[in-house]
Amino acid sequence: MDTVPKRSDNVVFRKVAGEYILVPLAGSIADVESIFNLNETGAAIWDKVDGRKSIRDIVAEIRAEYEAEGDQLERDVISLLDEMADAKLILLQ
Amino acid sequence: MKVLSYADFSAKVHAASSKRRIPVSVGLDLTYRCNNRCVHCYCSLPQNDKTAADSELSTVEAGNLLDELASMGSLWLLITGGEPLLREDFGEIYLHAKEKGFLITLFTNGTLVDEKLTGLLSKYPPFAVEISLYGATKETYEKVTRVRGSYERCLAGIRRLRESGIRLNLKTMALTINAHEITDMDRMAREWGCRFRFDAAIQRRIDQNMFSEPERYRISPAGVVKLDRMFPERMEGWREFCDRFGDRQRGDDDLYICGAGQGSMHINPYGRAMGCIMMIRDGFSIREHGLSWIWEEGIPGVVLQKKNFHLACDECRLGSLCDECASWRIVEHGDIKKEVAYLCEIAKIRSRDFGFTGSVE
Amino acid sequence: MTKKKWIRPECTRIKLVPEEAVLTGCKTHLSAGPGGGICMGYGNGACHQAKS
Repeated sequence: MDTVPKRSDNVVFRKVAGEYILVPLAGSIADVESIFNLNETGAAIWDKVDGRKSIRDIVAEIRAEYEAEGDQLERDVISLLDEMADAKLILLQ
Repeated sequence: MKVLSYADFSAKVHAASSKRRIPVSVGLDLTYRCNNRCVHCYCSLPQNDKTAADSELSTVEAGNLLDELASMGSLWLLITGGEPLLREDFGEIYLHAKEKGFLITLFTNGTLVDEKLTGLLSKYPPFAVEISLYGATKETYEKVTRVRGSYERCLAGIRRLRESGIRLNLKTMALTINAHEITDMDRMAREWGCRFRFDAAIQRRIDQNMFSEPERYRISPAGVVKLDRMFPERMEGWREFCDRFGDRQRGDDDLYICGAGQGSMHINPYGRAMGCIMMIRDGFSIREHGLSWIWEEGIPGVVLQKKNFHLACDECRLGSLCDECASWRIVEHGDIKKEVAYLCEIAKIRSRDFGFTGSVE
Repeated sequence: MTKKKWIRPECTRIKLVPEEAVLTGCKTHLSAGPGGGICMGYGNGACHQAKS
């Protein structure tokens, strides 16, 4: 929870026709052959990833904005950040 | 991680952008100048045309334009021309577009593809590169391009792109002077692992320049359909298409029956923005009006016009088979009220040959 | 401030496949036949448009 996620320098965030899109910029063909589409809550999380806030901070800020049961929200945020780290969209440090 | 197919993603974004009227797909001509002198080109100018070069958008203007397009929600960017690689600042403009997150398609003749370019494209891959191949043999190719040595340079460019692992597709315009080599071009493309397609709908020049005379190289309507028949996949496609869209009249009073200017626009080398490349006479200068006004006011004023005159085509039931549109009429005749007989003939023959039995009159 | 309803956040991968691209700026659904025709993004460029 103290881990601080940071956005990859290699990804451009675009909002297109109401869709939240992450476009990898450079790298091997394999790295850039996909783009990524975030849903609204995914985009809200991405918005808070700034290289300074810890996962705990991000969860707290999201919790202030969204209504969720139990620890579902926390689990969802962590799960999404893990997925995005696997896809090299963010770095967990 | 969830996965969505590209086709579904594209359909979703296009539908949303059309509804909200966002220019999600934009074509940008970086120059009309070209190092080839193709007999059929609708826009090309000599590569050393200084007046043309001096009028083109500067690097800074192009960068500002890309910034503005990105903020308006454009995602797909076609970079074309003329030969866009003639621009010395091509790399700079391309990189600027990449950094803005555009999905870039590059149309080029391939003759200027060097290692510097493949280095750039390998590091910052485009969505797609498409090269026009004008013949399967040097003789035919250079009869079209009218530039000696262009065939070898094109093949070298294709080879460099393939060796760099950059996605590449090939295409051609079917002309009187290269139609006999279409199957060979198709075979060459397949051997290289590239998709290949062709079109015979040759348009006249969009300006009054006589540097090329495209209409002189049109295949006859019957010849166009004969080419269709030579490719089983193409025929199959047409059959399915007729089944789906066959018997349909235009059925409305819109002047422009396409979606140009709704979710897409085109910008020429001099910064004139328009609904599509053919609407040159209804373009607006971004230098004069600003892109925002053009998109919000200028282009809708053109593409949403109602048709207040009668065309013989109005009663034709082959609307869905025919390439004809208001822009074609303007480019063909300079007269928006005059049908394009060439396209009409092609549609009639296609309908007959492909077994579509709707009324054609 | 009223809190918004929580929806499970998603990040969906879209593999770029230009072969699946279509032409959409034209009368597409009506007329973009497989043989070419309007705005099929071909050479001389009746409608010199790229698929997207």
